[in-house]
Amino acid sequence: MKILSKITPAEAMLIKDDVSLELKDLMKYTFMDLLLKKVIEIKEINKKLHPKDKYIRTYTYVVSGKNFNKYKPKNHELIYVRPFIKSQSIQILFKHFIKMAYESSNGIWNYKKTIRSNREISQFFKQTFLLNLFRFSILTGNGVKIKKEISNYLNEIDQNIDNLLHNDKKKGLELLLSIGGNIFLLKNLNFQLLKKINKELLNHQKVLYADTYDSDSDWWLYVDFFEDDYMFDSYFDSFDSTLDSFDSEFDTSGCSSCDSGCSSCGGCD
Amino acid sequence: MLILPPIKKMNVEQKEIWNKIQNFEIDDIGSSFTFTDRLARENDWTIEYSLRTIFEYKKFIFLITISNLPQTPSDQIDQVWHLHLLYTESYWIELCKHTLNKNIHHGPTKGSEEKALCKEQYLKTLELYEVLFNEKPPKDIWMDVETRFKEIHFTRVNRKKNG
Repeated sequence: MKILSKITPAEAMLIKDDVSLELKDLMKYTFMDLLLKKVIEIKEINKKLHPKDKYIRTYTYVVSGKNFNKYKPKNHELIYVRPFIKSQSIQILFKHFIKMAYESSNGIWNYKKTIRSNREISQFFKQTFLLNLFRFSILTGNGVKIKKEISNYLNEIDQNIDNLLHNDKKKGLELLLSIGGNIFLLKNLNFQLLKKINKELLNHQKVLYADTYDSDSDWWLYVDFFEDDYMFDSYFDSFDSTLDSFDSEFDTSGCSSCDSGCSSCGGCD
Repeated sequence: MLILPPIKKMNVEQKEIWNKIQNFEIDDIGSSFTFTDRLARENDWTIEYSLRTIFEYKKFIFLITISNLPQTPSDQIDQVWHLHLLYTESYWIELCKHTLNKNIHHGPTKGSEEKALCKEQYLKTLELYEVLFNEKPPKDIWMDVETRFKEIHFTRVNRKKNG
């Protein structure tokens, strides 16, 4: 299904089921999709704070990825990508990165509006002043049609993917590559199985795809994921826990936490 | 008159210093209210802007470290510097003593008699930045020289008390 190779998981989710979506999920899948495409990467560094420090600590940073310069971000991805556009070599602590993105999202309504403004899907949503004023979102006729197609297609893959990855890896891989980051929307996908994909199968896919080059598709960005042993899926939980840890205190209109003052230090050794 | 050779792009030693500064972490990862959070709150900046300004502050510290001439920051970078100075252990011990092996003192301006000198130093800082980092300093953090020395009339306000 061609459209799934051109839209991100957040866009697919918005078409499939706008009403029950939470900001956290839209943000999480966007983040994971950018990681998958290696537009951004996570770097863990074990280091001392300074050469004389007694302790080695683990610092988790988000940095620009190897595909950063090749990729043109969509509107809703800018919350993650903008600092690297301005300073490509900046490295940002993971928790600050998530907080920054949360603040930049400007809340669920605005973030959905940003997603809807993307070129590939804006045609599927009615855009009127009144709808905007009352914060309603309604699909056009084409939008309703595409919603059904996407839902049916993803359900079909979901039902068959486990079997395919065990018994017909070639077909399974072809299907997964064709939907790009929307693999996150599959409930039955076992990510551990993806790590066992044969490199020859991947090369075969690359040869097949080279004959049908589509400049609008991010296919070539996604294929990298299957080549590496990148353990990105552990960041699903880290994302949730980080967002939860400051969600209760953090207000998109400004930080209202911590009214404590400072304290003195009794001196150092 | 001492004439210094023109500075070219970073040499190996300078790259090593820049890497150390870049990897130096002001934020305490175990803290729920970090340096970055405080900087954003006290200046009413977004987290994104605060992170970028801290990055530029590190570049400024690098310029001071490798240059024999005084450097002048933008006001935004000055705010990061002021706040970092309050984290005395991080600044004097962890950064200056253990990372740079050099004390970097902050010198507030003595008054309007230094304005012309500060302007000149600021321009030189911008030039040095461009040479060593091979890019122009971002204008939203490193203002042009006229704006830098015009928009300086700040007052500390208690937002809870004054609405």
